[in-house]
Amino acid sequence: MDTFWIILTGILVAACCSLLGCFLLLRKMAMVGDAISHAVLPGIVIAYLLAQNRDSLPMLMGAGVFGVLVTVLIETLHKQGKMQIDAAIGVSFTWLFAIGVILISLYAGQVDLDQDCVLYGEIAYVPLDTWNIANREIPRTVGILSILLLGIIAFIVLGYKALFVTTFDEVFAASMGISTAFWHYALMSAVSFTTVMSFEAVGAILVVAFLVGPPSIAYLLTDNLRWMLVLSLLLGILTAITGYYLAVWINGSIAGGMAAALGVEFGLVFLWAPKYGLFFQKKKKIQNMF
Amino acid sequence: MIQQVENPALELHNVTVTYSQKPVLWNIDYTLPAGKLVGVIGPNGSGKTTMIKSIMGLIALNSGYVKIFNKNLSELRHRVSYVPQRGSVDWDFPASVLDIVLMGRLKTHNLFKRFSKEDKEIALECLKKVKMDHFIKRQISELSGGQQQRVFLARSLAQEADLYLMDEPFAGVDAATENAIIELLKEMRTQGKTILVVHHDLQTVREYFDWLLMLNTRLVASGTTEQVFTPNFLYETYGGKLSILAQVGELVKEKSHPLREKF
Amino acid sequence: MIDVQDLIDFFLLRDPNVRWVVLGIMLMSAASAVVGVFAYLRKRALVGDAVSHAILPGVCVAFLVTGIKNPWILLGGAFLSGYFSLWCINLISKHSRIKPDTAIALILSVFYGVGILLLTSIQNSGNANQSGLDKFLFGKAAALVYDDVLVFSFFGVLLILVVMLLFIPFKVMAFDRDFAQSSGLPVNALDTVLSVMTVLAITIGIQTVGVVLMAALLITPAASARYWTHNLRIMVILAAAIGAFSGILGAFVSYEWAKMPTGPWVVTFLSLIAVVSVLFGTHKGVWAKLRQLHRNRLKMLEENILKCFYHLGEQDHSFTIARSLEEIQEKRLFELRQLKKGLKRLTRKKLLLLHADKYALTDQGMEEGKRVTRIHRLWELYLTKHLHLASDHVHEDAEAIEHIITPEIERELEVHLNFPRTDPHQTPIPYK
Repeated sequence: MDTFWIILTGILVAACCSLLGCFLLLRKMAMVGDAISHAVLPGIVIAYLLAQNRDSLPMLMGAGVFGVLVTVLIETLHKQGKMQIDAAIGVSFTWLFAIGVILISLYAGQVDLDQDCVLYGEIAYVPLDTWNIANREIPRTVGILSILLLGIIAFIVLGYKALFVTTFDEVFAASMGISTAFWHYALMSAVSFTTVMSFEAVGAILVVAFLVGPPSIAYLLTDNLRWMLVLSLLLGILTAITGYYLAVWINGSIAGGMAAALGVEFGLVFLWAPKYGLFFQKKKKIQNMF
Repeated sequence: MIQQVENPALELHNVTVTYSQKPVLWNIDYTLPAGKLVGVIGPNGSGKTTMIKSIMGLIALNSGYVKIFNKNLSELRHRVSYVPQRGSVDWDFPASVLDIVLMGRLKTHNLFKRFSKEDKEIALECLKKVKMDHFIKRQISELSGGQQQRVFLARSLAQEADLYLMDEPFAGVDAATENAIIELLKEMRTQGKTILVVHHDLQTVREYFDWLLMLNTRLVASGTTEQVFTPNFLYETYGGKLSILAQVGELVKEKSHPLREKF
Repeated sequence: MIDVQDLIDFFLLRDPNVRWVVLGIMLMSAASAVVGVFAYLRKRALVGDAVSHAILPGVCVAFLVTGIKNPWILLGGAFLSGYFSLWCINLISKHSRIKPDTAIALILSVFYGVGILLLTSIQNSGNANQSGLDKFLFGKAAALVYDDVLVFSFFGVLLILVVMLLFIPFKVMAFDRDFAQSSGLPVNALDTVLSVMTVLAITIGIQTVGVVLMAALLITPAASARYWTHNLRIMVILAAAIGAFSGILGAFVSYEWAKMPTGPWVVTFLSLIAVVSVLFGTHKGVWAKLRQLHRNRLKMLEENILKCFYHLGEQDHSFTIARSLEEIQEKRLFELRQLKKGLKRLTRKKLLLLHADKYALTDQGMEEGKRVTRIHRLWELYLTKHLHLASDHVHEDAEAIEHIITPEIERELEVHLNFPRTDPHQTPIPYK
């Protein structure tokens, strides 16, 4: 039974991240996603400290704010501080992450996090903390992530046209009176909360893998945004399952297994995708020469 | 020479705009008549794109104001269409030609709803006008430069506006496409639309435009083509920046000096 | 709280137990910062982040293949893995529609994930040799042994030497790659050298601060230095100093408080220095700009007051009449507190004289007032003649620009306009 919950958690994390990640990729904000996933650490530690029990949704919401805050920090350093954007990203998230690690060291006894967990999570522990819903024991993480996934799907379905136009042609969207700032921050908030909720299960880095991996693979396989979203979702689910079994086989971290699975999938598609794969492109080049 | 008109489609009054703290547009003042094909010409960096963006409210004005059909932009956004430069967008985006053109049908009230059948019909009509109706399902990453420009134009047409602002629509476009586009623009003019085109090819100015705006950080001239497309105005437009103005502009940037006092 | 004597002793490296470790940390931080300057200039900050994460699988594979925990072998594995990740990023960016930032994030997370998978697998296998592999992950500066320090110092010095040796070609390449290539510099080879050095710095430096924070060691000193200079040589030296200084401070913190990890504190000090630089840096800092804005405002205020006096003088055909605050306000409305401040400053500068409650122009003050008035009218004329503006549109512009025109530009204006007599409103222009 535990295996079921663990795999389900992986699937839910993958699903949430793969969907949002499509927009991050198309907006060229993959590294901002990376920054957010690191920057929420101090927020999470503070939330754990203040909440004392792990059941505190509002506290985790507060942690999510840190993620949005880092995007504001990056923009401020870049626009007002005149720092180049890649440096602004690097300086911002490393600082926040460092603060998070210091906090963990300071309050090691009171906070149920250790450095390992932070970096790669421990999804195996997920089934232990449960809610009681309709007389069944459902792991808390699964419950939260399910709600989050529904929220993300609703966000994307309702906001599809706005996300489409603000991503493809920001200037045109602004000229039509659409608030590009609103959709930008809405997306960043969604990424931030997803990171916080996924933290326990897969840690910071693997959130990035799911934010970027399945969308990248889907991007090489289709020219249609709707299909890209669907493919990305399916790939995420596939990765969660294969990654789990890979990890079990080699007796390693489950999150690591999932990332490794992503790597293999990406490699295959990168090389052999019809139309956008490397081999196909080379073949076309040779054909064009004759 | 700056010809002023009554009941202008577009009016800029004493507009000054800075970019990265350097003045890019200096005291631009003109009125444009409705129903004309207007060309905007000037050397690189003369502020043409900045002017279009300021009219669309995408860049803040340091001074002055913009009036469209005597109103503010916010009151009649639906009557204005902006066609940005082709290079401002990533054409690797996963979308079809029809997807892009349909975006022209977006209004504030249908942002969260599906497009209606009428929307789709209008989009198809516009694609037919630019002769891209056989490409509706084509992925935009597979389009040539001319085809991309036509898609942008179709999107713009789908907005059914009265004032069109186009930034370099003929750049990097094949001759056949250029002809098709200018024919379409002339037809739009006949229907009473006002079209502003940022243009770079002096050879075709006389043939294309009834009215010209000649820009070189400041407005050199605004009037009918016969009146202003003359050697001395051209010389002023393209003969290099006004040295003193340029020096003052540099100082303004260096010292972060305001362009208008606020006391 | 902090025992000052402890701090001084620490900085003077009195304690033999820590002396070498601290030196090693300082050296490595400085070397990373130096190499990082070039990563910063090429806008490759985040590539450094990716490589930092990518060394992990190399360490594990090296261990798995050889079975021993020899630092050189592990470093070799780390280096190869890091370099391979660079190659992958380039491959993906160049040969697919995937954009560079996505490629970086992808390689970063996948390589790292594989590394974690292997590391945990090794840890779970109960292999006695494997403990300590995770210092690559977190940077256990306190657990560094003498051998590690030797390695640090060796590579630290090596990196700095190479930068010094190749400084000129690196400099040319950083600022204009095309020019470098056309001048015959082997840009590709130099690129490779820089890449190798970056991966090396990362491979070694990670043991101080750990994977996630390594990017900070590379980029933050460079970003900070940028706010103090645009001279490359000074920037490199400054970055190295910032790196070394943060290194020793971070080491001190974890020395005094055993619970504190070194790495994050090094990064915290680096970041604080960055914030200070952004705010107060002489070259691009926020504070410098605010000060300039303040200076602008004062200058405008003072010159407007003098101009007002001059206009009153023109009106009454006498420039020596003393004016009261009310008279001034009637001619031109000032905010009262500003006016008083301006009057006081002008009196101090001997441009105005105070007689009872009234102020009068001194000779110098009159010349100043005349000068600003002249510039105002010249500029208005320039605008009407050369920008073809209507004469009722030029006043506002001149009100702002009159304060910024230098004597040289003033001269040019006079010549250009042919020493005109009157401005667009037919008011005479007062020459000296």
